[in-house]
Amino acid sequence: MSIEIEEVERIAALAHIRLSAEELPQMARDLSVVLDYINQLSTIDIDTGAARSDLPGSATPMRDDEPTASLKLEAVAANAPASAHGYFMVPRVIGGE
Amino acid sequence: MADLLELSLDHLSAGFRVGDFTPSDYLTAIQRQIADVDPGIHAFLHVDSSAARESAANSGGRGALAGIPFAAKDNIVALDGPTTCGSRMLEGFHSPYDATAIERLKKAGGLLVGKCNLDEFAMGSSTEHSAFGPTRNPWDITRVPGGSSGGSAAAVAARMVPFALGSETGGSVRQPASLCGVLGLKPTYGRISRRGLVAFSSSLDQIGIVTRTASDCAHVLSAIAGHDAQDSTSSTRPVDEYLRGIGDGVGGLRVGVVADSLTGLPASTRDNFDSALAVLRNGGARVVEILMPTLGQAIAVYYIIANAEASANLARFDGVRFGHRSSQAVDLKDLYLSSRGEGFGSEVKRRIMLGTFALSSGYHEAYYGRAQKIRSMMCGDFRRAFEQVDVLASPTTPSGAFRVGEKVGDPLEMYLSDVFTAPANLVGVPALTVPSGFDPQGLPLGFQLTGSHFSERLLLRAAHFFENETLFGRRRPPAADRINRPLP
Repeated sequence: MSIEIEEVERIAALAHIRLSAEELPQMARDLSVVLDYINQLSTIDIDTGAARSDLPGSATPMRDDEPTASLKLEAVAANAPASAHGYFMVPRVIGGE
Repeated sequence: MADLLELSLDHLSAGFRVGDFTPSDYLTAIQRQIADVDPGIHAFLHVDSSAARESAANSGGRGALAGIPFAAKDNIVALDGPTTCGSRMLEGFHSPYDATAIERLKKAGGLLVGKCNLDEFAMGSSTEHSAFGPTRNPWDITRVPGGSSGGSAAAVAARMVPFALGSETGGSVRQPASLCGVLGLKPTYGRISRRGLVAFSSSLDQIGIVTRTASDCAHVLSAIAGHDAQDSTSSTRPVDEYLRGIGDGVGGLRVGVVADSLTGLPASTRDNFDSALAVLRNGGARVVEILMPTLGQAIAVYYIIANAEASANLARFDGVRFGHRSSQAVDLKDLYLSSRGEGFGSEVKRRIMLGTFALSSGYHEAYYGRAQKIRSMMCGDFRRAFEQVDVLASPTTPSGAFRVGEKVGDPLEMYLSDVFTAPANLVGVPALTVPSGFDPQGLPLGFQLTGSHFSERLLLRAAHFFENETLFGRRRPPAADRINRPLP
């Protein structure tokens, strides 16, 4: 399956990753090679009777909605690229250009 | 003091008890070994001398792990030192908590002496995709240790620590353990808490254990296994007594082999595998050929599911709350695009892209949906197999360690290294590798045993039998025995 550069750009936009002009063609080649291999799965007959419950971790355990201790604010803020007054600082989201 | 580095956990705790040597003596020997040999191997990204030394001096505890130094793969968070996941994305990140497995080891008296190198975010089979340089195989430093837990496997093989934690998603403990000539266990999915293991693929990830012996592995597993209220995928099933009956041998064990999966292997791997089966037969095991039709699709299924889940899990690295933030961003969207473009290496980007594609509108059902259905069929194959046999046997890897640089330019070729290991991750069953000898180049090979869910005690019993019949694990790699020049 040959992946075109436009498709790579579409996927990169979905993945929120900026790829350079140099990276794009190599990525198209790499994805094409791997997808060619993966496409063997399209020839497999799916046994629709196979139980989904066979998959690991299928059941979702529940717990009471009671608050418990969490991380200290200072410890979390210590790893923040930019923070102030207990908030993470980011570039402007609304307004401006 | 070089002999101290060969002792098992049982011998070490006996030695501490009778006063032959102290935890401080042992820690000193370990730290000297790390200082002497790691410059030529680069198993460690971070070594912590001070905290461990203090704990050793104060260590009066009982139990097989009291006073014992260990290492952890650097995608397992700890309060001590940075956690980088081998990535520029997390350079300088200091975790505000210890992973549950590390908490439990510390509670048992273990001393975390350092964090081990890995393929970035655990994505790779050679440790060449670390942002901080590869780790070398202690048996031949021109070759890879395997991956992604290459640092953990090399550290144990080179006698720098008696055990190390790694992580598994598609074989990332067993494959490097095999290439480095040590024992590696992937437990049943849910047996060890994933809290504090930086998530790659949530339905596949498990912390794994690297040791030189089965009884050492049993001790570590006993300390860290068990339900964790903060990991909702962890199992509530009671923890087994992994050492009970470990010396009982393999009489009557039914061993299944999937003949189809062995075609195309190099003759030396095939011969090695046949010899390993003979060891089990001599102990009274019976070898049976079985069929598992879906096994051939495991790699394709794995690379869709793992990468799809990775694309979701790695979305959290966006430059906002932790990790690398681009200085170039003009707005929030740009912040995401630039931070991720700059922080992630090429293999991580490749996998996120594949995963995003497999989940994207128009492709979701054909790729991710289909892969999950085939995975379910694979679970059925394994269930039926374990009605006929107690364990499945295979080589762990198709061949011995390859050279640094040999496969890194060919992603698909690298992915095929996981052909024997990935099925156990997909199905959630436990599997381990034991050293099974050496290939014509003198490089270690491994013999893999896979069991049904929660059969770790059986696997460890079989491994214990095998290692005592063959003694392959007693050989020391050349790089463990000399003072190594730093890598360029």
